[in-house]
Amino acid sequence: MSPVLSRIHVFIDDDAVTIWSWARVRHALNWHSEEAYRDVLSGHKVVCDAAGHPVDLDGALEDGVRLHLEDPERLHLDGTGSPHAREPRYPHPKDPQ
Amino acid sequence: MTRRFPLRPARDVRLPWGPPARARRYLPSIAALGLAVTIGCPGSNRAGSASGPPESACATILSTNDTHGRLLAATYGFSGERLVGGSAVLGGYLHDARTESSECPAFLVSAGDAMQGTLISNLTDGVSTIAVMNELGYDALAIGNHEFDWGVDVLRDRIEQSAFPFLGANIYERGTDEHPDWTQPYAILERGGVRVGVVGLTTRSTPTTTMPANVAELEFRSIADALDRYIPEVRAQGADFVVVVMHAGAFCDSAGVCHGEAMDELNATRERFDYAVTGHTHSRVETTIHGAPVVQSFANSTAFGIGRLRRDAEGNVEGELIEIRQTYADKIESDADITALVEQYRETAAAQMERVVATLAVPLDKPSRQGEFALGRVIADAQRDATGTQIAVMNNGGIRRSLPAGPVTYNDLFELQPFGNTLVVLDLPGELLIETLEHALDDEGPDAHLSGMTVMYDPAASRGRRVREARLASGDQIQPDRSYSVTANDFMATGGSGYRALMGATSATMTGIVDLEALVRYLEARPQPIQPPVMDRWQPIGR
Repeated sequence: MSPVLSRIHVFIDDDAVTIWSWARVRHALNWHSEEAYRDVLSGHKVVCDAAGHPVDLDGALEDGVRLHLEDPERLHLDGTGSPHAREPRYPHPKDPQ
Repeated sequence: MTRRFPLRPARDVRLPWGPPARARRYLPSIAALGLAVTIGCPGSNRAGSASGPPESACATILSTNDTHGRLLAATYGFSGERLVGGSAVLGGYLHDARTESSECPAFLVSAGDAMQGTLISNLTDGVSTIAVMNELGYDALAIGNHEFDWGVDVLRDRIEQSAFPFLGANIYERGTDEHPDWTQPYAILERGGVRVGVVGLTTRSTPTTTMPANVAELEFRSIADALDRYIPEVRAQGADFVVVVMHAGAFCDSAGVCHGEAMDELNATRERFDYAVTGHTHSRVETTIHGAPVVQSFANSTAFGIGRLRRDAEGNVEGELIEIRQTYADKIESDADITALVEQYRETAAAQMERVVATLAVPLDKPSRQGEFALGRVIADAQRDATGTQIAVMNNGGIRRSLPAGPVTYNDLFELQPFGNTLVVLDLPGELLIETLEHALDDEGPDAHLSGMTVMYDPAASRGRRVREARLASGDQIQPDRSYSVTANDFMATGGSGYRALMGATSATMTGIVDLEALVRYLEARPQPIQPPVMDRWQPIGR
């Protein structure tokens, strides 16, 4: 195994998070705030990218990405697949550990 | 010398699991069959000729990414009681999309990470997923980092099983200019007289995002260089359109500006491509680079991309991303054949879940959130055994149930460790190791289990000053100025449950080993019935 030395910087609600390059969205969120992570898992909040689209907690991160938390009721979930529709969040079956 | 990868040779598709492959309902790709036939709707006016430039042509590109073995529909927080995704639902949507695009032949591609992620897929090492993808009519897949999670031998078997090519134009045998013999850089697909060249690529982060040992003999080189190498070859073989499919990702902002590995590589590509499908970040990507649409459709089969390519009589190509379509189950008629196929694998998985992994001589209880117990010691030992580090640290919050004496099934262990955490090897300075131990002692009783070390602590001392002595299994005392190899799960290694000191490690290597699988392997290898370790590793003084 080769060591992984690199860390990346991401932003959640403008809070800078420095984390391992292999980390996923859920890891950065949990580092930002365990309470926020629980809010997302319970469906009270949604992680969105800078375009306002929900992102999957298991997705890979990119250096410099800006994510923010949003209330789910603010997302447009008409299910029509309209390119103008806001997409749903993608929760994960994981519970807080 | 330039290697050429023309039409893929025909081969039998043999499924080691499940039912034999039936005739595909959807139009097969020429790459899969190796036959120069023109089938289906007319997408080109050149009447099926593979020679000479077409006067006009069109094609529909259907794409998924990061479906992660989601064969079954699921409800999500956003959907309430509504089911979303799953293979049969996706099949219904794809059927409609193909029908809608009857004037332009449709090609279905995957941007990788297709297999890893659910029990119904993982318990068959992805066999169920590939069987379903064959039925869905996939034409090509770009290999994702998680395609390597079960090793190259398993991947090779899945490629043999598949009716579509696994592409990896930037994957090389280490130190050579050769691609592994189980992959190919591109495929030329032909349908309805239209030829689409698909070049597949894989994130360069693969060695750090799957089990490193599985890819130790491989190199994941520049995506842009691979595209510049192979796009001319694809065009020379008469492709009407060039579609890039890559397991590399990006995020976009509200202005449609996107950044990330996929954007960097596509921007650096000198050769012209007509359409690009990305993955890996499980995000929505909807942008253009060099005038070509670039798309990513979230993940987990909850959406898919629909794009259109047109070539006019002057040879001008125009690409359009029509839609990223969500896959709500109540808005479509599910594919009945795929429903039946998935159900067979669901039943197989259910049987696998009841498989007895080990027999316990005594019950292993989880008495409370805090404190030390034998079950936690077993889990920590299993993790250290899997990685070979000096120490393993396992958070109590990740231990979810007790185990009774007697036979223990896979399902019991899944309920014990349901999170799918992967193990990380840290190089941790002794100072931070002690800080980690202190954090575990913040509340009443230790909040983590240890393997490979013992700790004497004073529960009456103030927080942060409770560790009195910490020793390795060898008896050597932990030194603040020395470094130690420590196994932790990825949740802890990124600061989960407040273990932030672990983020100060000088390195953190993702092993790709899932905690549940480490435990299963460890228990299977122990003499039966299993007697758990009884010696406490957290030893309070003054009691």
